[in-house]
Amino acid sequence: MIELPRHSSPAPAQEIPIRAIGIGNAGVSLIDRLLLDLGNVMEYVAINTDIQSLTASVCENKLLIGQKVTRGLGAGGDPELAAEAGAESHSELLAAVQGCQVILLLGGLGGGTGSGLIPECARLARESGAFVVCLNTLPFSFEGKRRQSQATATLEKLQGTVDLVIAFENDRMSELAQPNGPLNETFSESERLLANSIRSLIEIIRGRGPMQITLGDLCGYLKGGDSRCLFGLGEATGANRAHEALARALRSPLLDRGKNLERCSSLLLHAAGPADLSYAEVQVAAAEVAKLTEDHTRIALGISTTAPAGSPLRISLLGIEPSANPPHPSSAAIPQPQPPRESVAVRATREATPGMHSGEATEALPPETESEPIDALPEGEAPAPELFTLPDPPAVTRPMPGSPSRKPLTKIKQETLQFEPVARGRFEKSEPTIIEGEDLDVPTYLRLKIRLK
Amino acid sequence: MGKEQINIGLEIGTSKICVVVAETRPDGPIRILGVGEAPSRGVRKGEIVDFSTASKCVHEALADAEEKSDVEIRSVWTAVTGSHISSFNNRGAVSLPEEQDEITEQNLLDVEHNAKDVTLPVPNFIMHSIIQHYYVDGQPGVLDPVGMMGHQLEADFHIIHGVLTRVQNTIRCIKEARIEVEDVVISGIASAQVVATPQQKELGVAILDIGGGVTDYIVYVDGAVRHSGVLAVGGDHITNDISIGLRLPITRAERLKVEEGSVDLNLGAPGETIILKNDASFSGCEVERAILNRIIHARVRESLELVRRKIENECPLGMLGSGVIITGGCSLLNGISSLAEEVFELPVTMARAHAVTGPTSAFANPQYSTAIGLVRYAQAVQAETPKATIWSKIGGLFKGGFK
Repeated sequence: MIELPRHSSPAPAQEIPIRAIGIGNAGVSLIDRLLLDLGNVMEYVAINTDIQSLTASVCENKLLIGQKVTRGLGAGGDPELAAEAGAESHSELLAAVQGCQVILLLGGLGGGTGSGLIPECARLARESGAFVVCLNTLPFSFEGKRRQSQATATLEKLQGTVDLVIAFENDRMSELAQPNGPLNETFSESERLLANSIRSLIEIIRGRGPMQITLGDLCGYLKGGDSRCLFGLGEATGANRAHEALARALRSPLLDRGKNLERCSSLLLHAAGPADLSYAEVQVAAAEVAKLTEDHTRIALGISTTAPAGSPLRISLLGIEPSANPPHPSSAAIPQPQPPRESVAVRATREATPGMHSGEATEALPPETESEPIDALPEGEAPAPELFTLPDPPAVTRPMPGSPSRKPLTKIKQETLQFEPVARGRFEKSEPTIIEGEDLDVPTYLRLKIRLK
Repeated sequence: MGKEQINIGLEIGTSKICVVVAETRPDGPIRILGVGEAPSRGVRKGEIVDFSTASKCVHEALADAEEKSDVEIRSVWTAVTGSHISSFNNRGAVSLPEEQDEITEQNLLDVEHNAKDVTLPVPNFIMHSIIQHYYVDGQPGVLDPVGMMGHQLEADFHIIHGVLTRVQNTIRCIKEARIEVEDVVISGIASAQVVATPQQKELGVAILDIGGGVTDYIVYVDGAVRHSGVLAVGGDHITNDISIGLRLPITRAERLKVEEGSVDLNLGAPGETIILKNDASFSGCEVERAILNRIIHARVRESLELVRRKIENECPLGMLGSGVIITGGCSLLNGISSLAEEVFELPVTMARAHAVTGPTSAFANPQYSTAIGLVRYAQAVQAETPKATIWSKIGGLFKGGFK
């Protein structure tokens, strides 16, 4: 018997509460940037062991922790000390992460406070039942190997804890600014990019439209063992806005004019525009992206049409590029001791679990058909509404059409022949023959991705 | 019966340089006396990229031709091709003066001049302007308006232009060998002279000369050139694809293509392999026939589809009553005609030079179509030149006589 819960038919217009928590110096300055750029779209909390950085911050909710351990002087690059500080101010931290559905943890890895506190905060936030997204910057390679390894270690820890880890490499960001420009600029450019990506994330999470991307989808798509996140954002208006916005998004140095998309294992394309966004425009953008990616790349398409009329079309691309190094056995190959958060299906179960018996939970596991989740939904929601509501009721009832997140994720990705560094062979030095946008000197089977074997 | 004349066609191709020495009469068939050939180096996509190497090769080919034909070569007709060559159709118009109501030879020159009066990119010059049809006072389809009554003469011309310096390079390369160049002709036009009959041109035909470096194509409708162009993709690209796809040296890939290559995907038993023997520079290996043919098929299909789209843009394929003729070295590729039939949805024939005789059977090879075509072109030009002067003289007489 299928019963639609009364309150879920007209989607409640209430926005999902999101809280950004900046941890450590990098995190706090990122919070400042977000406050300036995005304004009051979400709650902000700044957490640090260093009183100076907190004083300078424009954020209203500041939390100085470990006053006894560090005396407000910072953790001095020592994650252990930061962890001690965290233990000292355990109750404050707990208060900071509670009572919000989505928590973004921002910080730079490799230093003291960030590396020491982010995993702890992540754990607390998860325990409080929130959807936790970690957005971290990895140190510049010139900052030394120690910071690098510290950052990697923290990243590994986080991967087992939170729903989604997005790591931005500062080395890549450095391409954003003039190479010989002032360091401040490089950092602020990198912050701007991060801020933009957060803005997109919020848009993706909150956006409403014909094709929504839910937190579950997000998790399914962007999770990836030891992976790096590629991000591009473009805005455009006018008749050709879809193409232009995409071109701008691809211009992001992280994407290297779309070339890096080839290496992505999964990709999220989100178009946010006013209500007059047309089918053709979405199709143009999606087709162009599909051209740049490999066949096996999982592409999620999200569309929201809630922007006010006349506002530009924004296209964001979030891609996961598998790391060039083989993933550490500790983080990827061995199953996590934590409940596996592998796909949308499992994710949905976990969210429904608090109020349910385990038997019912498994029933609700595959959200393949429309009826089952609808069946399970009111039951799951009713007993524990104060603790948990599903982030977005239609999220489970209406999975993305043809959403590939249901595919087994362990699929072997290496299918096509690797591109040779010199794909033009003997025509390397001759005048290229470019017709209809194709470089005809590159073998046809490579361009058409015809599998030889 | 006109006087016999020796004409020599020289084609600097991407894979070989070919010299055809032939004896022509203004109204008779061509008799080939000898064909000289040399492998071509320093030429990519139909254009010279290494001047000194290429001129050495030209020298070799000329020496070979002189030896075989026992003719001392002084001047040649040569073909040019390359991606820089493009074409368009343009209409010119002239109004006859008040007192004149009969169209003269001079009016034809005027209208041609008028049609050629277009803005080209700065480095380009017009290589050919080919008459399609004349219109006399709006009456279409006039073939020879001289002597007709009328006041307004219009004409559609097919104009082919290319980059001057690139054409000059070819000429200079030949002049290095102390040989004069009579004229340069676009490869596509040269081949069309001998592979298609006037009847076929009348019915409508597309001629594809798929050579080593480029594919020249030319479309005839109602006996006139409707469209022409050059696609800078040829057999070299197939070889290159094989070399990359199967990791073979270029020379081995070329041999494999010629000996075993086919565009037929279903050729051979599943899993059939071809064994490449080792030699001094290559350790030998096995390749799967299916993979080889898939690589070739992808490239050839793509090129044919590109040409089809280019032709379709200018003229509907339904107008090509005689279908498609394929010539050039790549027409020897196994299975290409059925693939082309599939792509063009038209009957496809493989052709070599017609209307040629000679002691050697060299002309049976479609690789020589262009060079033989050059001789035919020369013959046609020589046959026309004196005639034209006679006509203009007569025209002048009439003009003077009636006044």
